[in-house]
Amino acid sequence: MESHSVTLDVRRLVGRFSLRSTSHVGRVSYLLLEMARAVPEWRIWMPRMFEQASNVGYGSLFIVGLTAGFAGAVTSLQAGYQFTGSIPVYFAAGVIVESIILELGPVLTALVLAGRIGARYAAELGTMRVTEQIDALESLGRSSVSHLVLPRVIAGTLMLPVLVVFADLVGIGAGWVAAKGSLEMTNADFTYGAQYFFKTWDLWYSMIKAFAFGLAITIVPCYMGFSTQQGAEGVGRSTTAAVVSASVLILFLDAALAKVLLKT
Amino acid sequence: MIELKHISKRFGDLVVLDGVDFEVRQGETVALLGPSGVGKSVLLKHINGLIHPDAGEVWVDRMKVGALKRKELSRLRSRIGYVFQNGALFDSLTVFDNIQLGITDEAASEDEVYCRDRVRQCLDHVNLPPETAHKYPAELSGGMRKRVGIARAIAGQPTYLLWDEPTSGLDPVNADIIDSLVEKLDDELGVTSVVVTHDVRGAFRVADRIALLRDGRIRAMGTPAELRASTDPAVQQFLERDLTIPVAH
Amino acid sequence: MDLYYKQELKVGVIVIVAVTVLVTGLLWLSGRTIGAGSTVTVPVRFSNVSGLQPGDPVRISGVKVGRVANVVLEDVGNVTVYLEVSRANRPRTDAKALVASLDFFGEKYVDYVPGNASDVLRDGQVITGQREVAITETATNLTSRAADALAGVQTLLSERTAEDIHRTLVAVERTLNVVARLGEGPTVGELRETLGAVQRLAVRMDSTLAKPDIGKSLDQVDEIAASMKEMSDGLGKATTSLGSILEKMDRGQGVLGRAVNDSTLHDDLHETLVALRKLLDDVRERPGRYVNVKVF
Ligand SMILES: Nc1ncnc2c1ncn2[C@@H]1O[C@H](COP(=O)(O)OP(=O)(O)OP(=O)(O)O)[C@@H](O)[C@H]1O
Ligand SMILES: [Mg+2]
Repeated sequence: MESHSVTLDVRRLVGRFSLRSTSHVGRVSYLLLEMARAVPEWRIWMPRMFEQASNVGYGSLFIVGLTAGFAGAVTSLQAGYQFTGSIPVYFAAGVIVESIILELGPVLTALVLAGRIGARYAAELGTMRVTEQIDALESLGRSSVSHLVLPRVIAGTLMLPVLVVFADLVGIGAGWVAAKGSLEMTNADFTYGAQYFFKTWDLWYSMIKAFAFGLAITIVPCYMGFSTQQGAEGVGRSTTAAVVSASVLILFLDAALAKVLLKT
Repeated sequence: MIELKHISKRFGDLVVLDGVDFEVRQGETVALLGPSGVGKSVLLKHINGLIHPDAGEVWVDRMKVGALKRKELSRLRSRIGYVFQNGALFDSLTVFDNIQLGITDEAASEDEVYCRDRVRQCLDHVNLPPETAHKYPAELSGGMRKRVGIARAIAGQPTYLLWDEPTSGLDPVNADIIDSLVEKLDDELGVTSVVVTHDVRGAFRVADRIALLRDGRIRAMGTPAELRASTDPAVQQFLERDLTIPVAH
Repeated sequence: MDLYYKQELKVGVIVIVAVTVLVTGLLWLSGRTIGAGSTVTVPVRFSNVSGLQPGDPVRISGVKVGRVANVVLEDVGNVTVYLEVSRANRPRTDAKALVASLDFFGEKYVDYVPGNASDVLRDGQVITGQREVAITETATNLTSRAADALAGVQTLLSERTAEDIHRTLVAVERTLNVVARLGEGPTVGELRETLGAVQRLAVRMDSTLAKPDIGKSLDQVDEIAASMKEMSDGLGKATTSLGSILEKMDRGQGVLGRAVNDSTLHDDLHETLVALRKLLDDVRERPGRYVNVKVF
């Protein structure tokens, strides 16, 4: 079939797009399968995992704390701005604590880490791909998944809940301090409000979210890094793609998990 | 024994290999010659399964590479040393760790004393001082990197060795040392080697047989004497330039 | 290997810290204290909990001592509430619990009285709880009952009439109880006195009415006369103090005065007072009408 403007043929574009997406899905599934198979090789991934985990954990403390602190303080100030007049102050405490635990803590931490470790993973693995280091590893009969992917994925998935706990702590702390300053809220008010709205499930939900986000921000960049092509530009492209798609996936998972897990 | 049966490989619209038949007997050293960009590296990567052919079969040790299970492929690969054209060293690891990763036998790679000895031995084989072990790849020269790559490939005592231009970028003395290493491994340990090279003189020195890759096919293959006697103009053209120089001396 | 060990240590530290923070935060946010062994769970059966929820506070004399662990609807009019209180406050045989309002937002709490009987209840023994009756509700009931009682007095005296009087007194007692919760300061003292008087009165009435053979013994006429005297004295005292409380409320004095913004309570109390006064006068003037019931 001849077409005059090949590039603008919508059917062809759609066809190519869906082909490409389908092959992405296929290759991600294959990577997941390989990861599952590599799990028993813990002697290989375990030590590398600890190296990555300590890097991710300690290296991200500052930026995660900073983000969560500002988020907590601003939530507090805005709650104070909106909740004037007839609504009692302790409501604001509930709003601060709940929004940090349910949404801001996990999502902001995941987004920050998507930028921090997602980009890093994609760039590292992408460079290793284009300089044939991954091929070299494979040529030695070693599994690149258990040497490179699994340590990163497990480290990130383990560390994200840890960092979310930290973010929750800092965020609530900052919110509390800001509330005391701007809303004239007493400690008792804050405690009362926080406890009034809190359900135990909220914290588990936060942890489940962190866990899912941890998988998203590690698997996607590792996959992107692995499928890098064409030199430095390719590394740049897959790094950008990794951060963007990990962030989109976080937002998507956020909505999906809220829908599935938050049945009131 | 390495057998490539009618291998075809294309990248997009570019046909690189178009029905390659290639065979390396046990204990033999075959030199693979060919113009730049013809697909020598691609062919070499088919042998240990880093690249899958579009058509055709690759057999190593009577095993079909494309049909192997994960574990079997990994076991086969640990017996095939691969010297990458650009070294492909793990740049976040020291030279020592790079070479240690080359020790593919699991029990041996956990024996610290053995590892230290083996690393020093391999560095010695490629004419590098033991101090190099604690440097990072970025701190090495191109030629040193290439030689560390060779040390890594031989560290696991493989029975097959695939050399992708081991001597390019090296000074004549070191190139000679590497050529001797190829010969020594062949003679003393019975290693089966495929050496991709542009150094026709080196090829004539180390190889039992020589193959010429052109236009996606093996254009000619035979002992050095057979090739020199070939009347194929493409073969002659390729050999002429390099081989006339020693004659002129 | 040394290097790996160091990384593992660092990761271990950060994970342990996070788990500790998580557990502490969970305990804090759900209002629990560490050491589950030091608390007991007290099941209380209510007919209506007015929106009480898990996590709501449990108070003894206004001091928070625990939380509502769970609220289970067993059946219509049958709700089991599990209170989590410290072991020191475990219920005795005379334990009581009441669902009460904390603030104007409908936030509830459980007013819990562990009791002071010598025997503690065994674990898991259900106690029956009461629901706080809204202040206005009580007062309304009270006035209508008092009015009924007076109607009875004016017509024919009967056992029913006497019981009505008794019930009226109990209702007064309850109202005063509720009022006592609202106020503090000097008013409380007065209220307590009033309460004491009303309680004694009620006991007196009970024992008088409970005597089955009262009509058979003329000797007991004296006793009845004495009890009537006591009854009128008690009513008099109750009336006086109720009057003085109302006076203070009128002047806006004390916490009570300030707390009662709407006049409903005041009006109700006032009506009660009027009713009591009438009853008192009647008892004083024609004691026979009240004693006759049983004696003749
Ligand atoms: N992964 C790839 N994707 C696309 N094209 C590739 C890929 N690998 C190799 N090619 C193409 O295949 C051809 C053969 O490449 P190859 O690296 O085998 O050449 P070569 O014979 O080793 O050359 P040289 O002697 O310069 O190393 C080249 O034209 C190259 O562009
Ligand atoms: Mg090449």
